[in-house]
Amino acid sequence: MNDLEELAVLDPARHTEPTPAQWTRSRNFVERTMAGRAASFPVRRRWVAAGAVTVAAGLVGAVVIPSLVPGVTEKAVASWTAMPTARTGDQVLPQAEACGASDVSGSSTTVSASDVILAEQRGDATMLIMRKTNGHIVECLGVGDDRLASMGLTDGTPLPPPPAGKLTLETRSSYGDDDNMFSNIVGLAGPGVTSVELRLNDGGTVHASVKAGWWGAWWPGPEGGEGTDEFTVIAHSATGDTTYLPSQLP
Amino acid sequence: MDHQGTAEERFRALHEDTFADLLRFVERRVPPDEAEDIVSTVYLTAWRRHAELPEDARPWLFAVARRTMANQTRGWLRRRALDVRLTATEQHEVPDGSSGTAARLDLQRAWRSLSAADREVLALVAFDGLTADQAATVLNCRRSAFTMRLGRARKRLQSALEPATPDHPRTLQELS
Repeated sequence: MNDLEELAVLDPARHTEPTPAQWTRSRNFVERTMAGRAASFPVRRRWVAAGAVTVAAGLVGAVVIPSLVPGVTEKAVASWTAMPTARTGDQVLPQAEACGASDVSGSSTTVSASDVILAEQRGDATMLIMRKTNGHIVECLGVGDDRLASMGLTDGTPLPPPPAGKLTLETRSSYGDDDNMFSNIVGLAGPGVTSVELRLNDGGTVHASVKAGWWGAWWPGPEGGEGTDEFTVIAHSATGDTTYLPSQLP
Repeated sequence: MDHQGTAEERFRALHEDTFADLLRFVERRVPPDEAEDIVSTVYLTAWRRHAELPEDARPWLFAVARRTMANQTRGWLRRRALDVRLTATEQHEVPDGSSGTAARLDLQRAWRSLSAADREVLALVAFDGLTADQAATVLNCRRSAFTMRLGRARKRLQSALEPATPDHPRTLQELS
């Protein structure tokens, strides 16, 4: 037996085989991937983990559905701005119609501007949170008419708002790879929250959008999907600021 | 069968052929509760780039897995290099006096004395069962470079396994 063969006794995965459940999960993931209906598991699982408290309050299992249109992510990331421009429902009606038409949390039969809860523009990319015909609330991110990702946020059951000036975290994630990886974060904002900003550990600042009791942002980079606290979240209100690490957000 | 159907069947076959090996590859390098997430991301990437998949796809998938692990763990990688773990029981191993156990403990100590880079090249062959060509693909280097790195790592492992030198005598016999 040579030295390399001897080393095999130290192998942490020696003699291990995937369990039937692991095979099933992976086969299902592959099928969803080939059908264009799956994102990376790290995204979804971290969301579920991060939102464990809110699951009981009605958070729908977060599912990202990338359209996988070549170049969309690149356009979104390349044109990204740290400060978003607020958009009205009328201004993003085409994107809201595309978002509503997707089968994430059920397709909307009709879409109107009033269905849009929050909408923002960063460069070429539009992010919106809207209510579907069935009452479910979803988030969509896209460039023009190209839907980049869609995600179920709630099943329509009203979520208890946070206390005045405070935030909750509903989901955070990252998606993509290499230079085209981006992060996403969405939560509820209590009464009186005037603005929310994210300070990344590498020194960058991302200004989130806040409207109608929701806050949200996306930015290029992996921080949103990492289990460690790679940024801080600051809620500004007339009565003062509240600073959270992601792991501290309820 | 149309072209897309063929691509999907090929991808399913690829998954069946590689999933167990890929999961083990990842489980050796990240905490178990993160391994499936990494593997899923690798297959997502592989499907998006299935036109680029080489005939021997396993090293290609392992290479994607290494990059994915680096991405997913970039935060803590600033403090610690991506490393190959030992068996989970290593901390609880109790010597029973047998030569086999003693040899294994020596091997563990020697392994831990190596650099993360040495452990990686050794693990690609000893744990992951790759050839030098395949391991070079995983590390994105030439076969000759990998062979050289492997040879040096094996020497350092052997040195770590050898008894203490006369400069650091441990036995009376060495003093005489």
